[in-house]
Amino acid sequence: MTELQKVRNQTGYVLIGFGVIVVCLTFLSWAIVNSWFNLEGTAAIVASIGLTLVATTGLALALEALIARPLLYLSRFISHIASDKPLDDNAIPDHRFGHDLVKESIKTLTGFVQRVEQSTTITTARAQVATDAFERLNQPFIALNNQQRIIASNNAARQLLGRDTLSGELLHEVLPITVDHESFLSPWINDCQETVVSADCSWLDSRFTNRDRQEYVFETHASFTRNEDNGLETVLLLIDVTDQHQADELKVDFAAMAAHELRSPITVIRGYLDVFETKLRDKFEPEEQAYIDKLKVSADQLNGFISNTLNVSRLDKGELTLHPEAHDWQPIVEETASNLQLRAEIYGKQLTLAMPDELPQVMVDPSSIAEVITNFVDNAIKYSKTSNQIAIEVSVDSSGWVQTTVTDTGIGIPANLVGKLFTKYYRSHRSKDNVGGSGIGLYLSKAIVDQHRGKIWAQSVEGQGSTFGFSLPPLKEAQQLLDTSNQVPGDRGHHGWIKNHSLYRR
Amino acid sequence: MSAKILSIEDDHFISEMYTQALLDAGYQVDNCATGATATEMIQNGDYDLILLDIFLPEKTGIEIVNELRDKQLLSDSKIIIMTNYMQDDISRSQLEALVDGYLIKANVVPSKLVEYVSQMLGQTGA
Repeated sequence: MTELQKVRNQTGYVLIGFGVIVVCLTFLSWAIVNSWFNLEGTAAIVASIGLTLVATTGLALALEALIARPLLYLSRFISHIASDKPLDDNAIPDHRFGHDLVKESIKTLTGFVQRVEQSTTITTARAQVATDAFERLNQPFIALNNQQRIIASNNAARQLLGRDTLSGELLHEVLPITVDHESFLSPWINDCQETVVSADCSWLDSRFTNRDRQEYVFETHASFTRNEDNGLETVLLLIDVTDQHQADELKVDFAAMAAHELRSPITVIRGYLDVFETKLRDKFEPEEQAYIDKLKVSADQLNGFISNTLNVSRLDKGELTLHPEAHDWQPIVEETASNLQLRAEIYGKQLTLAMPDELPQVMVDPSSIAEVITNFVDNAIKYSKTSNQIAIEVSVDSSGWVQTTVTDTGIGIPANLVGKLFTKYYRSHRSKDNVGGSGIGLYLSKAIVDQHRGKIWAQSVEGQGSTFGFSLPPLKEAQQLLDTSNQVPGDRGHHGWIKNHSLYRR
Repeated sequence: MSAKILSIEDDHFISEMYTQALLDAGYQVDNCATGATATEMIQNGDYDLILLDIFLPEKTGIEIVNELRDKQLLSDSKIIIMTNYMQDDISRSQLEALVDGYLIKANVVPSKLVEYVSQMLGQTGA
């Protein structure tokens, strides 16, 4: 039964009750007229009807005063609230019948409404302060619902995205911001929605290109609190760090420019040392040959450092792209070891090479992978002060991967530092005090091995020495792992393209 | 008859160093230091191999390569780019498709260059 039907039924009962009362009053009046005033016939009827009318009117007035009028005042009072007019004392009537209950109820209601009004005013004022604050914030601010649609944004966000309004827009459609060329915000929010109630995350190097093709670098800070309703779920604050990054990139560019400038003189220095050696080899006294050897090794080291610097600059700009091709591994390792032999000798080290007779072919960029071995051997030379042995060893592991290691029996590295060795600018605890080093050799080596889809590692026991190694997948597996679209086109054979690794050096 | 090589290089020290090494190896070597002269010399000489720097006065090595290929002036001449500057990956790949070798000068001492040239021409200079 609906509420309306209930009201109808109740109204019907009231009317029936009222009719019964009127009939009862009529009989009562008739009895009074008969018994008290001894009236009969027409006079009795008229007198009883008159008496009934008087009694009914009195009853109706009482009901009106007790029920209908308070309801009328309540109705007026509610109308006041609904019409949003200011409340005044006249809204509470001066009751002729002193309906204290109604009066008190209206007073209570009035107080409640006033408090609600005050609270709403305060809340509205606070919301306005928050809105003004976000609007005045000169960094983009965006709020999202659980559909990843924008429900609030500030002026900086709208300006960045070149829109008058962002409400209702899907985040990934209007803000295609990336880290390492991959979108990250939507995946993170999706992940949060599936796994957590709340989470915060920051990305310090996120990139966005606006409609005018202007590139920005932002620190993106996100805060997620799950909201099953359509309200606020994720807030994003983007802090523009473009200027700082440009300054950093200028530093990198300066390093690259300086390294480039160094290449011309080092070409001449290495070149004429080579000429010296070719033309005057037989005429040098042993002592003079030793001087030439030291010059050669130093020039080679400087050249290696210049190459490392340029490659790190390219790596940091995302431009270090290698082009692995199928090669036999033995000749590359042999040539690299041979090139390093003099360097080891000059520093009083004995460099040995151990390799099985047969090895599977590997996919390598020869000059780059040779740099990895060179960096390992350079490290071994620097950190094996008390030891003279440096061993290059090549083997095939149980998975068929070709493993190359460089082992020294020098001062070693504490276990807790081994994991940090391949990070940029990291210099071993020992090198800070007494050994020079830029801290980019192992960082670059890792990047090179990664690009070959290989594995790189370091093992060390402090006081006993270190082993640095990398392993490369055998040819077939490497071809599957490597993206063949990045390979150098293979149509140069008929040009007589020289298959010497220095030709491919970037 | 020994092979004929044109070395296009604007750095005098480097040009002299490579030229002398190639002469000592028995090759005939001409050299020039500007892009404009280089095009003219290639048109008038019948070179087996051209060693080409990229950053040259008046005309870059890349412009020279494109011009020679467009005018079909190269016939059987081979070209090795000799540079100390790194190209971005796209322009490097485009350039490599047009030439026969790409060397970083800082990594190529004169004796090594002679080795490469001999390998590419399939003959020694002597």
